[in-house]
Amino acid sequence: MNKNCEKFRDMAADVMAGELSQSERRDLADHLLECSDCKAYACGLEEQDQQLTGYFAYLRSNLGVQEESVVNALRGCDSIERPNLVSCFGRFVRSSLTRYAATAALIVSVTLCTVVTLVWISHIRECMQLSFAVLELAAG
Amino acid sequence: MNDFSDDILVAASRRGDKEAYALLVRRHYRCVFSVCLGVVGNFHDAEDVAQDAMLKGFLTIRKLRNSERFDQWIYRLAKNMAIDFLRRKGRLKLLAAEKAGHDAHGPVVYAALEDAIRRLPMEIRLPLVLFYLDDKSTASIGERLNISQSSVCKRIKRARKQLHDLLTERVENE
Repeated sequence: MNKNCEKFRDMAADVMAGELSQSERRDLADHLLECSDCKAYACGLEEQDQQLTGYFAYLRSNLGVQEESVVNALRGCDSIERPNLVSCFGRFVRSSLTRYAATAALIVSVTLCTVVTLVWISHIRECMQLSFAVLELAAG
Repeated sequence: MNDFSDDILVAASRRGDKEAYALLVRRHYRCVFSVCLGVVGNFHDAEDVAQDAMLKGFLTIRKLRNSERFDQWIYRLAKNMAIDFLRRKGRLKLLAAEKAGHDAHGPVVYAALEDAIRRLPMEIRLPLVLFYLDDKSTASIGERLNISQSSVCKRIKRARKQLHDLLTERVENE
């Protein structure tokens, strides 16, 4: 098997998914006429595809019985889960709206703290200046 | 009631209407079973997980936010349950016993094929099963698995080639 064969075997596997263009299909057909190994490989894939189709069709034909057993089990089911306080709280905490609100609250509180600190510092500075002025007057 | 859209049936199911949910089961069971089979790789386990997923879907349907996307929701629920099942099973170390091939479901002619499908890695088995069992186009499989269409084609191709190797190897050994 040469490198070309590997390429054509890849293409043979693509045929089933309808992935090949017309020209690629022609190239593949030409190669299969020349190479008996690749032809056997492609035939094997085709046979396997038929087997897969048959097998899954067989499974599909059994699904009706399974569906009915789910429906019967469903009839025996008690009831649907009611939302309880814990799950409501969990959903509230996980929701994106809560996250945005928490971020906004954090930004607002940091800004407020900064403003209050600045006001407080300027107030202290004024007090100190006033104290110094009073001291200077007293000394003078 | 058969003509009702998913969101109407979901709304009724939320109120506890089991008949409405039964219609959703009939509509989406194939897809749910396909994903379970694709993940666990074994017919009987897939059947159990798919049934549990459908029942859990009914019990937790209030958690579904967008009722029009019931199909995606139930698909995700089933996939997560199938992966959890595999994890639990891995812990119990039952997988080795299963690999011995005592759990064939279909007719004997498909026993070798079933065994080979089970031995494929999950990432290529799942698109293969969806392609054949759920009659899906590669585009819709890509949408469902959240991968591109070309990745789906590559995975299906890899699955076919590996299946071919496994089946040929088996014939040679016999």
